[in-house]
Amino acid sequence: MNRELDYTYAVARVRANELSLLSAADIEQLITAADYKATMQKLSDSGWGEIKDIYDYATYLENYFAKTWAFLEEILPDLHELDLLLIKNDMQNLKAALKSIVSQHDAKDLYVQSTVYDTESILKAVDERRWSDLPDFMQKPAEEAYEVLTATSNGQLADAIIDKATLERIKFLGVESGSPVLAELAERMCATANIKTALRCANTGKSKDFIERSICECDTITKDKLVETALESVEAVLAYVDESSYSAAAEKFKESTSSFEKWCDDILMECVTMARYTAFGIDPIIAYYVARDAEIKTVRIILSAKINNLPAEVIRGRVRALYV
Amino acid sequence: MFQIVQAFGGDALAILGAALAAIIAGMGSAKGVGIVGEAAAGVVSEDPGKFGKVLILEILPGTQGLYGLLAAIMVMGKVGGLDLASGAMLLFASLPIAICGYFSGKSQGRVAAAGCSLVAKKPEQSGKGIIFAAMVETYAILALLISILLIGKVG
Repeated sequence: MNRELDYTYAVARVRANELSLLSAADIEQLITAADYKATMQKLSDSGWGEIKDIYDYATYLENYFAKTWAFLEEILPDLHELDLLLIKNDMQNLKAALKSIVSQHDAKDLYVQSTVYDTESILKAVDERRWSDLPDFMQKPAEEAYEVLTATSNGQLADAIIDKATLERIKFLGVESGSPVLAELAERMCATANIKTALRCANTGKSKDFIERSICECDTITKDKLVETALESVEAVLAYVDESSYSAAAEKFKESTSSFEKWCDDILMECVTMARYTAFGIDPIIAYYVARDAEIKTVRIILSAKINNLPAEVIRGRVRALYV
Repeated sequence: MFQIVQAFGGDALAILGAALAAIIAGMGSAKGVGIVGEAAAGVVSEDPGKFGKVLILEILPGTQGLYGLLAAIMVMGKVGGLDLASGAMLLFASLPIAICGYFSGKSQGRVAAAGCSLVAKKPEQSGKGIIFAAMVETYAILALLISILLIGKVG
């Protein structure tokens, strides 16, 4: 059944709200502001909210993101439409919960809000080791990661197992959504994460078992080939990536790590940009969320650079692609 | 039975035609206005100052229902002792505005809803949004014209 008209009201509100997204000119003003305080003031003047503690920009941005989330909660008939974007928060909480029970430390500060599933239920299931109480797709990786943590204390491998499961879920949700934009977004999220993992593994000389348990299957880049090249060297991974549809990634990685990270974010934005011309359906709403997320990431980079007195040219090179 | 059909069948067919023109074209308008209404409410909830601009867009898909009503009134003017052939002709004469009114009303609603998004982002371009939506109206007008001409030919 075509449900695109279900979002008519939400899309109209999103379009009206897109006016408050920062433009390239706004970003330039933030970059060229006299100092960190002036940048914060500019943000406050642009409607990002009242500043309580000028040096606590993390909380300031968190509060701003909470507003975006509250807005989406208000306009969407069913919040499960955003599962693809939020599932990483659930998996982050799962990771924190597993580490918390193994290390016997309270990880309350590590839990992320805006989740698909009730965080308390997940924490309870993990705490009682009742894996079957977790959502289906979480059960196996949670148990596997727990066994790795208790048997070997290998936190990296446990994280990699959960991260892989996250990507597999994202891929599944993208395909299931029936939206070509969401399917493509999910595919790109998986492919870029795989490239990052392969490069990191090649750089740190990880074992075949570790790499295989970290990289997920995706359509645009072959898992086996990535594993094989990651076992060789960073250059071998880059040579393979260069042959794929993500050839720009190799070039950007050679430039610098920050260029590569920026490219990874930018191709996700590029994927949702088409939604600017879509009048109906979920795509403009997803695009708005991705745009806000990228905007907050950019502002975080600018503020962090400003507080460390980095020159404007360096900041410009790290600014993410914008939606508007 | 045959006598009843012969005596009242013509009028019954004409009334059926009038009812279809009013109902089907009205359904198209109701659907179209409903779609734009949702989009317009979204825009106005963010910026009440844009009410005037989105109201014009909301009104546009409502015209098909009026065209259907007009055709129905014209057909009703002919009712009263119609023979079967004339009644059937009036029924068929009502169909252009009934069918085209439904589809154009619905489509116009979608275009006008997209126009609401245009108003939300670029209020100075609202005239273009209205033009896009008005283009769909052309086909409802053509259908109404042909229905009027056909109704005029009967009796």
